[in-house]
Amino acid sequence: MKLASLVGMVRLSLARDRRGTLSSAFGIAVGVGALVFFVGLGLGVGRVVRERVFPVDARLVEVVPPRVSLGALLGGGRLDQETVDRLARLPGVERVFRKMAVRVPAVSRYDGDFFGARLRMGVELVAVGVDPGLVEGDVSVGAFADSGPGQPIPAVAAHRLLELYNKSFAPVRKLPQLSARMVSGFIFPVEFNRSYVTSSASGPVTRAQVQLVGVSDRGLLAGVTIPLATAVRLNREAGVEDSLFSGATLQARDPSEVPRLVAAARGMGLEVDDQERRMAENAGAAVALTTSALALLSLLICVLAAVNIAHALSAAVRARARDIGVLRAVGASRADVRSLVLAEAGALGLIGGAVGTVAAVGLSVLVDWASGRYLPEFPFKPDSYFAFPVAVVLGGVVLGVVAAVAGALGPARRAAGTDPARVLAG
Amino acid sequence: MIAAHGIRKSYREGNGSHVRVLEGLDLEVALGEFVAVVGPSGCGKSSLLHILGGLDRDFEGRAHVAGTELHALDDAGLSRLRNEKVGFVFQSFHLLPHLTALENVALPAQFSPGWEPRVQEERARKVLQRVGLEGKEGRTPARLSGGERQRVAIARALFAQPQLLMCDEPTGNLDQETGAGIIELFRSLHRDGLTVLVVTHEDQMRAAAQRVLRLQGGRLHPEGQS
Ligand SMILES: Nc1ncnc2c1ncn2[C@@H]1O[C@H](COP(=O)(O)OP(=O)(O)OP(=O)(O)O)[C@@H](O)[C@H]1O
Ligand SMILES: [Mg+2]
Repeated sequence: MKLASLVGMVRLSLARDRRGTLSSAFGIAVGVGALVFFVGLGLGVGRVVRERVFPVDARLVEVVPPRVSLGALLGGGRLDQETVDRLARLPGVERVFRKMAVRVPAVSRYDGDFFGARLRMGVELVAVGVDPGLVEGDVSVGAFADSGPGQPIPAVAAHRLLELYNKSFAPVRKLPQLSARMVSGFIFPVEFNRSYVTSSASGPVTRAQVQLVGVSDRGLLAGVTIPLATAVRLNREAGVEDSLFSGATLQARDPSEVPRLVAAARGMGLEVDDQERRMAENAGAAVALTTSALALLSLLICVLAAVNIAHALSAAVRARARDIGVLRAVGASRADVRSLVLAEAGALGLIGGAVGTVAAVGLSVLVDWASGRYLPEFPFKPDSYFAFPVAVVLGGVVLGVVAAVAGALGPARRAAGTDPARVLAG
Repeated sequence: MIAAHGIRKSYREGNGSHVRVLEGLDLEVALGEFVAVVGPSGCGKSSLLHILGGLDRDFEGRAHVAGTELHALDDAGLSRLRNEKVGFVFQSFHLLPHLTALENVALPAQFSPGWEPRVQEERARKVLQRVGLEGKEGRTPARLSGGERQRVAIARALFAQPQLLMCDEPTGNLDQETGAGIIELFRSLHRDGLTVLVVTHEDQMRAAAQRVLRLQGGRLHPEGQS
């Protein structure tokens, strides 16, 4: 049977029973629409979690010395330069970034103009020094290197800290919203050897200034990230430990190397801090699980739609047995009749799938708009909760066709089996 | 045109027994012949037409129609035979109600390659003109009289220029006068060279045929003898 004839006859047949066509296509549209909507939502929320809430770089491994150092007693598990060199020689390691915490307490007391508002507050400040390569790419003002005593200390803040400030802190304190570009260059005072939380501060208080030079996903979440050399200098000046590192970030050549590196680091008596990674994985898994459940529900709707189409087509095939006999009499083969029924279902599925997909995308636009317009600001609030890759959009339409055609298999077989001699008799 | 020998046909009843309808029937119809088959209701006339027209494969015996042995054809082959070589006309017209006269007539083209849409329409108009329905191409069957519907059905049977027309009581649903018009149409088609095999009760149709056969006891007998 020619395609043009097939298309023409299917069009006529669908037009003949408009109400049946609409109700069959509607079922498909609901199922496909729900599926595309929920999968798009899951992908969109998953992306927010992955890229903004837990921006884990899949190639990075955080190595820390063991907390209770049994290894230290035996001479292992210390994170000194020699250990760092050994880590750097592990196969699969591309780079190692050393980290050293500033081991004296510090506070920042601010009193003055803060981006046009007045701010007066004091906070405990945590700082960690890193090999500049780790955050260099995110530095936008000046250089990320030790500037020597008396000079402002360059520091990088975490994107997420800025997000929390903007969405939670600033609105409550009526402080201005800040962007990464705005805070770069901002200078604030810091006092070392002073603390609000511990009384173990010893030695004289020294004052310095910190200048934010960039915002990074690799920055310490609750504190500032400064050049390693600066941390070493501050520790040495304060007379505390300045040769053991508080951590090292391994950058693997490839994410697939990560499990091997984790095992190797543990084998060296070190611990691997995979808390962030695990949280990211858990959050990702929760989103994936919810999405799967909703997708399954939507698939169920598609199955019901297919059953509905099977019923509708069965009835149509029965009601039109005589017409099928006529087609057979003028030269339709069994295969032609089967093709006609399947093509009719395919057209229903195509219409339903396309309408459902368009409706889902439209609804997502509406939801995003409503969220932007009516929901209050909250940390990590995204511009869009949805992601519709081409595969999802095409998949929706294809699913509609597949569901409808699957529902039509039985009726198509029965239609092809119609005995023309019997239905045309009389 | 038709050479059938030893045709046997039986239907299975609900209770498992068989009703024998045709019992070793022989029939020869020459090219261009006009043959009428008569017989009482239920004697198997429709069954015979369905077998010879390739609508029913479930029979025994050998039947050559338009040059091919029917049992040698598969479903696709039989469909092509019906599409190209045999035209059917039924008692109750069997038009598709949602299609216009023109679309009904062009239906065979949908199952055959090589019919350009423009050629299809031209041909359909031409056969509708041949059966006297010029100007009614756009009407659906509901807006045609019984006689006109049967003319549309005849036009559809003629569409693919078949060699053989099989008609099952084509005037059975029509009044005397309308039926007479249809019979006249068959006569004229026959004059044009078409082979016609018609099942009928109508005396006028009998009179129009060159040969009348009576179906009795599952076999055909020349009318007048028994
Ligand atoms: N599908 C079928 N299943 C069972 N029996 C059938 C079937 N079709 C026909 N018959 C039986 O076969 C016999 C012949 O039927 P057929 O329709 O060929 O008769 P007919 O000569 O055309 O009758 P009429 O003049 O009433 O149209 C009848 O007894 C009928 O009941
Ligand atoms: Mg009959």
